[in-house]
Amino acid sequence: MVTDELVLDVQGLTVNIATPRGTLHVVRDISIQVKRGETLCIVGESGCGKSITSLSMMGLLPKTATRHSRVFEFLGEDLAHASKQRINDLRGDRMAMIFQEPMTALNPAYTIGDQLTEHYRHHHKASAEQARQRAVELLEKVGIASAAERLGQYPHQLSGGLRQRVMIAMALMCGPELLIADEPSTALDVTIQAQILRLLADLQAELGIAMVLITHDLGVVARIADRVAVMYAGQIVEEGAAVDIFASPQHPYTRGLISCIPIPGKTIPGGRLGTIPGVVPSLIGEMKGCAFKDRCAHAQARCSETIPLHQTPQGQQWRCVMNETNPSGADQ
Amino acid sequence: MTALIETRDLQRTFSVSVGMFKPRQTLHAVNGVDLSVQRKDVLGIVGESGCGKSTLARMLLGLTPPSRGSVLIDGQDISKIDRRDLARRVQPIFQDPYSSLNPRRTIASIVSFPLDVLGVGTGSERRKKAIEMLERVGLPARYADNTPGQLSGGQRQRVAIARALVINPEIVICDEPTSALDVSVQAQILNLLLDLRKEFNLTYVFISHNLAVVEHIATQVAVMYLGRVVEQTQTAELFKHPRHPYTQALLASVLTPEPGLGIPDMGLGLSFPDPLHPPTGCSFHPRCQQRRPECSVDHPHLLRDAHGEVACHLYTAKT
Repeated sequence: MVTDELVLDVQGLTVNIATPRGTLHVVRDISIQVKRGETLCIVGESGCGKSITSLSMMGLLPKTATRHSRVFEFLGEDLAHASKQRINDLRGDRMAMIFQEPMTALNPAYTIGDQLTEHYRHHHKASAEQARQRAVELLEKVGIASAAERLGQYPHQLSGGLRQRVMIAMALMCGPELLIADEPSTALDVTIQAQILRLLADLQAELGIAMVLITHDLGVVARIADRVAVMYAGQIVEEGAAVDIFASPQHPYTRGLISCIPIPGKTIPGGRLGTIPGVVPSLIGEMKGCAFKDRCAHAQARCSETIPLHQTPQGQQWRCVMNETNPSGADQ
Repeated sequence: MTALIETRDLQRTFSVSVGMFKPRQTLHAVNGVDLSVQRKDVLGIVGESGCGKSTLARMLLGLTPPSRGSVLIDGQDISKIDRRDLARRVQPIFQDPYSSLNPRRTIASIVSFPLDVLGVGTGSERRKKAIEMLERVGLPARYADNTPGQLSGGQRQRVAIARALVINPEIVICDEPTSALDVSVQAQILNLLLDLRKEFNLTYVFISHNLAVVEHIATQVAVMYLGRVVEQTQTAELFKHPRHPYTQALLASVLTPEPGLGIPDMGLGLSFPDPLHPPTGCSFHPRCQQRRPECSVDHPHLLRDAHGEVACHLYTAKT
C-alpha cells in the first residue's frame, strides 16, 4: 500500500568526487522522494551514478566525495545537518541497505548469528537471547529452514541465494522504514533472482517499508517498481509511474534502453535489436545541455542549451527538448 | 548428414579437495552429454551456475580433455586432430573481456596473434588482416595501437570477437559473451554476432544463463542441469512447449520488461543444486513440483521424439 507519507525527501542532490584528473560530477542535481509502502527503482547503465546515489542516501560516501543538497529529509528530519552520532543511530536501524554481493558484504570470519544480532543489540539495547530470537524469527520470515542451526554457520557454508536472504534478514532486523537495495539480485542465477525479488516485494508489502531499488535490469524494474527513475550520466532524465514509463517512454534514452532487450515472443528471433550508439560521456568537468545528446538520434542545436523539464498530468517527468505535443522539438 | 560438431557420452570429472584431512571427492561437472550441431546452426546452452556449461565449452574447444566420451568435428575425434588444425576451425569468445585480453599487448597484436601462431603471411600482412577484421566488428583502425585498458567493455568484447574470427573458423564457442555487459552494449554485440554468422557462415555454440538472449540468437537449445542435458529441442518449440519441469521453471523466471505481471513463483524451493552431492534418481527431483515416487530412485532415460529430447519421468512413463 502506497501512502502519502514521505519517508525520504531529497532535493537537489549533488555528489562530486575529487580525482587526480579533475572533479568527477557523479550525481548532478537530482531529486528523490519515496513514500511509505512505495518501491522506487533507479535504473541506468554502469557508471551513471546510481550506486553513488544510494550510498549518499545512507551517508556512506567515500572520504573524497562531497555531497550537497537543498533538502535532505528522512521522515521529516533534516539529515544534511544532522550530527554523525544521529546518522549512526538511524543507519542500520531506521534506514537499512542490502548490498549487491552477498559474498563480500558478509564478514567471512563471523557466524551468521553474530552478524545478524550485532546491530540489533547495539540499536535496541537487547540481550543476546532477545537478539537471537529476533534473528531466528527473521530468518524464518525470509524463508530459511532450520533457522536456529543456521545462526552458527559461517557465510561460506551458505549458497549465494541463502546469503542474499541472510542479507535481507539483516537489513530488516531493526524494522527499518527505508530499505535501499543496490542490485540485490544481480549476482544470482535467474531462478534464485526471481525468488529473492518476490521475497523483497512480499516483505515490503507486508511491512509497509519504503524501498529504493537500484538495478540495471529493466525486467526487474517492470515487475517490482511503483515508480521508476531513469539515470543517465548523473542526472535523472525521466521519472514516473512504472506503467507509464513502460507504456509511453518519452526520453530517447529510456526508449533506447527498452528497445535493447530481447523479449521472448515479442522480438523476432534473429532480428535486429535496438541499440544506443556511442559510450557514456566522461563525468569530469561541466556538462552543458543534455548529457545524452552525443548518442541521441534526435540531437539538435537546442540540446546544448538548458533542457526543459516536461510533465504529464499523471506525474511522468522527463528532461528533453522534445515533448509529446512537440515531438520534433523544433521551435513552435 | 553428419553434424559439424557432435559430442558422444561426454563426461568430465574433477577430483576436489573438501578439507585437509578428508579424502578427495569426485565432482561430475559434465555427466554424459550427447549433442549435435549442424552447420550454420546456433546451439544455445542454458542452465544455472555450476551446471557444467563452461566445462562443456572448454571440452568443445579442446582445452579440457574429457574423462570419457568424445567430441567430434565433421565426424573426426578432436583428440586426434592437431591443436593448430583444431584452432583453425574452432575459436572461443569468453565471458569476461577484461581478463581474456592480455593488458600489455596492443589491440592489433592481440587480434593478429592467431595468425602469428599459424604462421599466416608476413608481419605486415597479418597486421593488415587484423585491422580489417577490427573494422568489420565495428572498431575503428585508430584503436589498433591502444591497449585493452583504454577500451570499454563492449569494445573489448569486439576485440575478442575479431580475434576469434581473424582466421576464418567454422565454429565459434561463445561462453556468456554478453553477461558482463550493459543491456545497450549487449544488444550491439548480439546484432554483430548475428550479422557475422550470416556473413562468414559460422556455427555458434552459445552458452548463456539469459534465456531471452538465447531465444533471440539460438536455433536450438539444450537445457543443462547438474552436468546433464535435461531437454533439447528447436528454440521455438522449447519456448512454446517446454516439457521438462526445470525448463518450465527457467522460462517462468525470465523477467521481461512488462509491468503489471508481477514476479513469478516457480516453486523451486530452497534446495540449491550441489554438484558434489547430486541427489539420487533424477537430479532435479528435490526442486521439482511435479515429482513422483520413482523420481528419487531412477534416473530418467532420454526420450527422443518429434518434439526433441527430454529426460523426465513424466514423459518416459507414458511410453
